[in-house]
Amino acid sequence: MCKGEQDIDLTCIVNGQPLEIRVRSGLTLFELIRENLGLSGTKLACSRAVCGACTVLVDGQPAASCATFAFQVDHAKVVTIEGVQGEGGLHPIQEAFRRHSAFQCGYCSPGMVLLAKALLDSEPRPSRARVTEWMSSNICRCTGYSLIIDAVLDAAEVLRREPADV
Amino acid sequence: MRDIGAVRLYRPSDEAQALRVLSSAGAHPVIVAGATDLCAQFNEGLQVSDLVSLSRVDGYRDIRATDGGVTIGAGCTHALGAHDPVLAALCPDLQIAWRSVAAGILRVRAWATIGGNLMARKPRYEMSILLTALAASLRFCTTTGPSCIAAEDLWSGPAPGQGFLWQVEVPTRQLVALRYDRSLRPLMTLATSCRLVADGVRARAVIATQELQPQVLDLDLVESCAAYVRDARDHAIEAFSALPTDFSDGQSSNDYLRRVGAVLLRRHLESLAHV
Repeated sequence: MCKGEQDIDLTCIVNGQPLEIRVRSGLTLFELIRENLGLSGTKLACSRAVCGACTVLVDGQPAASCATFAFQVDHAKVVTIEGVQGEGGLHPIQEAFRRHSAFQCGYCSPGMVLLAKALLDSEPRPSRARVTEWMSSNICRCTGYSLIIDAVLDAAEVLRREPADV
Repeated sequence: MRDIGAVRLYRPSDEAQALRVLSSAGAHPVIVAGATDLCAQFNEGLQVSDLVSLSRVDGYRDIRATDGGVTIGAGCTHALGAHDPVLAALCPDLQIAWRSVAAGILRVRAWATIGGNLMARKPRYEMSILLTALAASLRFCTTTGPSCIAAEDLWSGPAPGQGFLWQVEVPTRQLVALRYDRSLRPLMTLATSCRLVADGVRARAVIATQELQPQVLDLDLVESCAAYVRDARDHAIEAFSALPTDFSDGQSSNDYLRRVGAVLLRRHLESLAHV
């Protein structure tokens, strides 16, 4: 018989580092990341999985950390925006965002960068239409979509020449 | 973001254990699968004391071929269903339609499940519309034994006893095609299936608006599909006229929405004639 647990032992890998932590059973992934781990790059906006501001990667797939329980990432690999940067500096996607002024207010940027990483990790040569379709999953209230799409396409080209170390 | 507070989490590993948990947990244990809709409900004020996660239960997300159809585990995500080879072989039209559910929201597609979509019982959620058009059944595991209901009875029939949705059973034998139009969603969505029966062809159209639960229109295309389609506009208008439902909402009149529905249905009938 499985017992009900008010606290659970969670084991996962966050940004490449093993994590073993005891947390409340009702803790969301967003709360785990920001409050327990102090990784404040992940942002909250809609709180219902729609806007994408809180996007992180779970086993390489985009996840809304506001609508995912921490227990759902048990034994998974989680990547937040803090884990994107390699030892050599900014990730090529971040560099491309900078070159194309795709950050604007910056609030959606962590989610946008991670969303782009998920795409380029699995599809190194996306068409513009594919990038547009994929990135439309997240909302930019500055409406800087064209700049973001340009940046992702640029990053794809750079990554094909020089693969990132993360 | 609202603090969910203290909850007890149960993670059973099989159906029997899940049922024991449900009968022994607090007064109103809540099933959690993908959690995308549940977390939104928490933010709207839902309070629970016990969560039951079924993600460790074997077979909960499997899609399997059966004699005469296909079963889809309630824990199957939109992303899995949209690319599953078994479903592609047995019910490709459902798969095409499924790809449009939560289209563009990758996070939801990767985590949200067919079971959550159904059990949220929200008219604008699309799987109940599609599955009702396909005359699918919903199989529940309950503390008093297995229970099976028609997809349309999710709204009108008695709620299954204490238990959980285990799988969806889609009959594909004699199924000719399924069409789905969500271009006007959430104003109105329409799914229409076409199935061979002993005396001809039967179409089943299921229409839903933002606020109304799915409405079923069964159409006998007895004479010939071609003849029916020739007069599709008249048939569609006639079918909608026969519905006692008042479609009107705060923004659109009953007449307008009936006309919209008739146009969508005519298009489906014309499309199905070419299959």
